[in-house]
Amino acid sequence: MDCATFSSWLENRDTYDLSEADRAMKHAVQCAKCKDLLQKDEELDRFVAKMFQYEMMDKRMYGKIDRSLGESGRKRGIKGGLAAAVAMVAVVALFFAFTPSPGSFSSMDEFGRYIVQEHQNHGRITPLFEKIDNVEGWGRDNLHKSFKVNTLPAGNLKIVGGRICTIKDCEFAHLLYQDGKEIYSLFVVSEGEIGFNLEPGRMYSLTVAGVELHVWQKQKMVYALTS
Amino acid sequence: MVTLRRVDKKRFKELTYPHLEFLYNVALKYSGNKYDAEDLVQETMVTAYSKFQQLRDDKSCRAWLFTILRNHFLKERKQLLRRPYLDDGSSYLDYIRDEKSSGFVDRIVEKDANKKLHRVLAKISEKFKSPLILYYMEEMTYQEIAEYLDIPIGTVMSRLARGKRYLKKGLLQPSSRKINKGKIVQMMGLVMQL
Ligand SMILES: [Zn+2]
Ligand SMILES: [Zn+2]
Repeated sequence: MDCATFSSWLENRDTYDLSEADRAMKHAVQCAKCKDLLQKDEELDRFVAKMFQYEMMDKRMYGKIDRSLGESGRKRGIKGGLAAAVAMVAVVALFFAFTPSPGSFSSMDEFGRYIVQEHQNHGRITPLFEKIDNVEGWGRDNLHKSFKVNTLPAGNLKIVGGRICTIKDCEFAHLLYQDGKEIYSLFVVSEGEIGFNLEPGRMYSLTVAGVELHVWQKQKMVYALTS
Repeated sequence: MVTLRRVDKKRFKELTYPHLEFLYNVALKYSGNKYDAEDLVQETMVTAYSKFQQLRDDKSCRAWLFTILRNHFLKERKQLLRRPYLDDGSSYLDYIRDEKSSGFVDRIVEKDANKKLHRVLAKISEKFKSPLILYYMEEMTYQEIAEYLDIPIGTVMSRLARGKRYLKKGLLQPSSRKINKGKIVQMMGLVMQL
């Protein structure tokens, strides 16, 4: 074996059989250059393997998955009367088990930053967004809060879907609306969770990272719409 | 019927949750960011739960979940694949041939190696990426990879060889911003991102 053949073997090691590896090793024993190359390739390989090591998963994932399993189970269960009753009990139990952690955001600015980031990361139609026919019913079942979305401060928006998202430990309803090709995110969260006060009925507008955000409060809920 | 559903869910969780870290890390290598990886895992688990009765053998649960995740990735994220890797035929060995002694990898592959890994992986098509993930992350044999991906072992070997070449070259290549400065290159960078 010569040096060129050795290089080609080294680059394609996975495709050669053991007899070729034998010949390559014999060459490497006699050829300092190729031996050096082999060692460096092995060092590179170890480095790559190290980069592929596991990264920690956010432990909240278990809860998120629990919840999404519960939702699909509930949808199926509702077909039977008894199942529906059980599901109702489950919803009520969840309602009481859920203890809000008040004061997640220190200011409107911080709230806006998180909201816009969430919109940029999630604000597109994926299968995790459930189709919604009735926003209020969906909100009751999933956010366990009653809220109403009447008129939105932007054009001709049609609801596409929704999911529950956790932002800074607060549970939000993340609703997607569509106007032509444009996708809008509407976030709905319980007033007690956000940690700063809004004047009821007043429309707040702010721009974060080029995204315009409208925030308002109605009854006990806070709404934020991107545009 | 309700009770049955409940037991199912308990069994489903017992079987599948031990593989969540694995799924998450595969998803992370597929998508390159935490957000999409979490979504991908969540989608996978919802699908797996709805198809739970299709899992015949508990022992194959990990491979079954992997397949569902991979299918989700292929279905939704394919259009997101950035400009695919273009092989110019040169060898990655050329980058290390003249390097002195050990420790050279740290010198070449800048500080933020993890970001660079994701950037390089994003350009490698799934065909090569999946064998790479199973090989480096899970330390699987060719045979095991072949079973996971349901492809012949010879195909695994050649895809792995090519994938390794792309990956190593991508890691060793200086990032374009570093070697070239100036407007023309910046414009090219823009085009590449499109
Ligand atoms: Zn030689
Ligand atoms: Zn979201």
